[in-house]
Parts: sequence; C-alpha cells; structure tokens
Amino acid sequence: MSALLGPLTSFMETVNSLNANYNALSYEELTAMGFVQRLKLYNWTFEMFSVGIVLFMFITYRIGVSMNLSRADKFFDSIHAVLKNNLGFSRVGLATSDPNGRKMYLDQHLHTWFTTFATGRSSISSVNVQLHLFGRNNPVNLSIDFLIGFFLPSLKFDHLEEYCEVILQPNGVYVGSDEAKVNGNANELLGNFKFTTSIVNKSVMTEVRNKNYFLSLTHVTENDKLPREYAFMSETNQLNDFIYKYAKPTFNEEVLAKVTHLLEFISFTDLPAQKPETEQEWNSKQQPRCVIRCKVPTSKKDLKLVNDVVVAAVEVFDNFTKDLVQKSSTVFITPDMLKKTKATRQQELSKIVKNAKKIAAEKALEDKKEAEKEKRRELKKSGNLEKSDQKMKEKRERRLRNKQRTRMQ
Amino acid sequence: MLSPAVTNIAVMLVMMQLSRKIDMEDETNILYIRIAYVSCTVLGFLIYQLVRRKIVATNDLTKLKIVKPKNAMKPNEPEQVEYTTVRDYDLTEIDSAIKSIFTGVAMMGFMHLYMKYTNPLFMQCINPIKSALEHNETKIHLFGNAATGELKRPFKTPSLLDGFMGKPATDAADASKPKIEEISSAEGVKTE
Repeated sequence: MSALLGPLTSFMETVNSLNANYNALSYEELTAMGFVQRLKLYNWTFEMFSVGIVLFMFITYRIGVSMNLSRADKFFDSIHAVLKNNLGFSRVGLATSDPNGRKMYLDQHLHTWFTTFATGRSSISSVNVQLHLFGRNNPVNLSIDFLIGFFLPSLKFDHLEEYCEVILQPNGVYVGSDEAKVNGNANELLGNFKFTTSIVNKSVMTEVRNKNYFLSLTHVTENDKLPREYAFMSETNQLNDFIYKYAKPTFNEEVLAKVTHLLEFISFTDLPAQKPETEQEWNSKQQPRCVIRCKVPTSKKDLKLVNDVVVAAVEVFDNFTKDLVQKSSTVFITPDMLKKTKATRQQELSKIVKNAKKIAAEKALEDKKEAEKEKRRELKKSGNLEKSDQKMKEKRERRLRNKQRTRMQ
Repeated sequence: MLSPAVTNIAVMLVMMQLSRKIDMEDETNILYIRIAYVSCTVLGFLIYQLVRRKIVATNDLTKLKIVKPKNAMKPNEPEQVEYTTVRDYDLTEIDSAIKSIFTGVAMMGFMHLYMKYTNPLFMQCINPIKSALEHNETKIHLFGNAATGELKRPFKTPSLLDGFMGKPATDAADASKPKIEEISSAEGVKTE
C-alpha cells in the first residue's frame, strides 16, 4: 500500500516544500513583516496552479456548451425550415408566453438533450425531433467515458452516443386541396398501419435490433434493390417494397445511397421500442409511426441529406394515406399481409402472456412464503409458536396414520 | 503446424534462457531492450493498422448471421443472434487485437517503469510482431489467404491442448463454437 501511495506522498511533500522558507519563519517574524511583504514572500505556485485548473474547467465548460448549442441551432434551424416551408406544417416549434414568438427547441441536462415538435398537416399527426449530443462541457468526463467505452465496451452506456431521431406519427387524414373535405374514417384507416418494415444500415444491425423491440421481431434480408450498405428488416418479406412503392422513384439514388454515412435506420412500425411485459402494455403501447435515426449531421450537405430522408418519410405517409382514403385498387398493404403480421404477433404476444403468468406465479409464491413467515413471527411474539407447531405436528401425524390405514384396507 | 499458443511458450522459454545471459542492471542493455520493445510494439501496431486499412478498402458488406451459443450459466435464455457484415466483423477483430497491444504496453509500463523489472520487457519483445503476423485477419488481408477452413469467420479459438496434439482449431461438430450463416445479396438465399 505504501508503494502505491508513495507518489502521492512525495507530491504532497513537494507542494509543502514550495513554502518551506515561509513556514520556517516564526509568528513574531511574520507579524513584523507588512502585508505586502508577506504576500511577496509566499510562494503562490500551487494556488496559481489550482486557479488555472478552475479557469480551464470554466473555459472548457463555456466552449463545450457553445459548441453544443451551435450544433443544435444549425440542426433545428435546418429541420424547422423544411418542416414549415417544404412540408407545410402549420405549427413548428414550441409555444412560449409571447403569443407571437415560438421557441425553436427545449434542452435539458446541460445542453445535451434537445427536442422539438411540429403538427398541423394532412397525413401527419405530429413530428417529434430529438437530438442527443455529447456532454462537451465536461471534457474530463467525456475522455473517461471514451476510455471506458474503448477498453470495456460492455460498461459503455447507450446514452453516450450522439444521435438524432425523428418520429412521425400518421393521422389517417388526407386532404388533397384547401377545399377538400376531411375523411371521417381516420381511426379505421390507422388500422392499416399495423406492420413493421425498415431499411437498416448494415453496420448497426445487431445494435439497433437489441435497442428497438420493433426491429427485434423482424426478418433480415438483403436485396439488390437496396444500396449494398443497407438491409431490409420487415415482419414479412412482402413488406420490403412498401417504402419503395410510396417514396419517389429517385429515393434510392438521391437519398439512400447518399446518406449511408448518417442513416442508421428508417422504420415504419406501430410496436414499441421497449419490450412490453404484459398484454395490457402490448395493447396500450401500439402507436403507428415512422422512426428515423441518424448520426448527428453537422455540415450543410449532411443536414440536407437528413432533411431529404424526413421528406421521403412524409411522402410515404402522404401517398399511403391517399391510397387508403381513395380506396385505390393498387394499395400496397393488403388484408392478407396484415393477417400474416397479426399471426406472427399473436405468437409473440402468447410468449409475453406466458412469461407474465410465470412472473405473476413466482411473485404469488414469494408473497405466500412471506405471509407465512410473517405469521410465524407474530406467533413467536405472542408466545403461541410452540402451540401452533405442536398442532401442525399432530395434524401431520394424523394424516400419515390415515394414509397408512387406507393402504392397509 | 504448431499452434501460436505453443510457439508462444517456446519463444518465452528461449527468451527466458537468453535473459539469464544478459546483465539487466547495465544501463546500456536496458536502453537497447527498451528500444527493441518499443520498436517491436510500434511495428506490431503498424501491421494491424495496415490490415485495418485493407479491411476498410475492401469494404466487404456481405451479411453475416452469427448464432452465439447459449450461456451455460443461463440455460433458460435463448441463443443470441448477431447480424453483422464481414467488414465490421473484421474491424472488431482487429480493434480487439490493437487493444491487446495497449493493454500489454500498460502492463509492461507498470512492471518496468514502476516495479523496475526489465526481464518481462525483454521477453515480450517478439510477441507483438509474432501475434500481428499470426493473426487471422493478417493472414486473410495481408497474405491473401482464402477465408476458408481455419480462417472461416467467426474464427475459432484453439485450445492449448489441441495445439500440442496438432489438431486444427476448427471443429464443425463443436456446439460450443459460434455458428455462422452467410446470406447472399440476392433475396436472402442462404449459402450455408
């Protein structure tokens, strides 16, 4: 132990030795000196060093915060412009106390988590944009996290990654023009969104399947239609063409092929990201949506690419909802496809129910044991434990005798 | 052919005998040993970096489905399936080899600089280069060997006993080894 503490002890001695001359002076000698003289005599190296560290921490904090804010501003500026001007959302951003002003985003945890919201558009109920950035305000923490992640990847926290996630929720309403009437069967139409189909970047296949329950239920297939960096993850192979059917014909070349370094996955699903534990949870957490997860774009070119993916997802919802509202004969999702996904999900649900029952039975058994223990504790307190034990013993013996008697007969 | 584990032991024994004949107290000898160790480590690191560059340049995005065996401590849990690509699998392997160099350097640094032992530094001189040249990724990407047989992904870890017996590291019937499925790019047709 002394060998390990050796360097620390020698460091402390060095620090103390800085003011050996000053400390060697007696109280009388110090009081005889003036204030300025004492200041001059004292060696301030260690104090200056400490103040330097504090200043360094403060400056890095300010720089880190401003870097995060600048990235967030760039990202949200760009996505807001697209949502408002290109996609025609009527409300983009968050309301403030000022009736005319709108806040661009909300941020939390020392400017590392950002979010914004948009609504008011045909086909789309809402858009939720989330951005997570590194805690650049604390470089020491950041470098420790990096080292732990590098040498011990199993200890790495998921939330340490930088990413942006855009979640679009459909509303089953399609309005082609200002004069068009709103269809009244929106909720009924949303029943056609009960499937999962995704395009996933091959470099993160296992990772995204582990983190997103809706992807863990899918089959992975490669296809010549896709750029080679991606794979399909769909509940049935028939669903693979869903995105291609409703996106623009240039989706592959203009969007997917260019965004390979950013896009992790684009998924149309209604299942939750967290695995449900009970049947109630399974039913309550189903929500049709499109999830787009990307690395954080910083350059103008990358921001445009991420926006293009969002625009493509909105187009898919637009065209699919239009097909459903107009009862088009070429609608891609057929009752047969939904039947297949329903059958697959039924199997998954039965597994969840079985597991939930098992957990409930285990809990009931534990509760029963605990109740018995509690009863014995109370009997012991009241002094009736021996009586009760005697009664139980007599009961057991009586049963044994009865059993033997039955056998004899 | 002897397995790397066996040759490692042989190299270790030879180096141990050689180290007895060197005066480890002599400052000049220590300097030469330090230079030799640092050069070998840097060379090993450079070999791995070269292989890494080759992997990135090859950019083989063939999909791999790796079925990991059940955890013996958790028999009720299902088998884990991992989806990855040849490129990512190779990069993971090479990165873990690079990490092992860093770990080795940290341990040697502690033993030599703090504990003042020079023998381990001398004995570990050859290992970084030897490990780098014997690594499966080096065999595939630097020496151009085909990724079949012992070099089939995922790589098997040969046991020390197998090495002494001269058995190959691969054993298809071994259920404890990860299984792999490669799926061709056309409509998910399984090749194995």
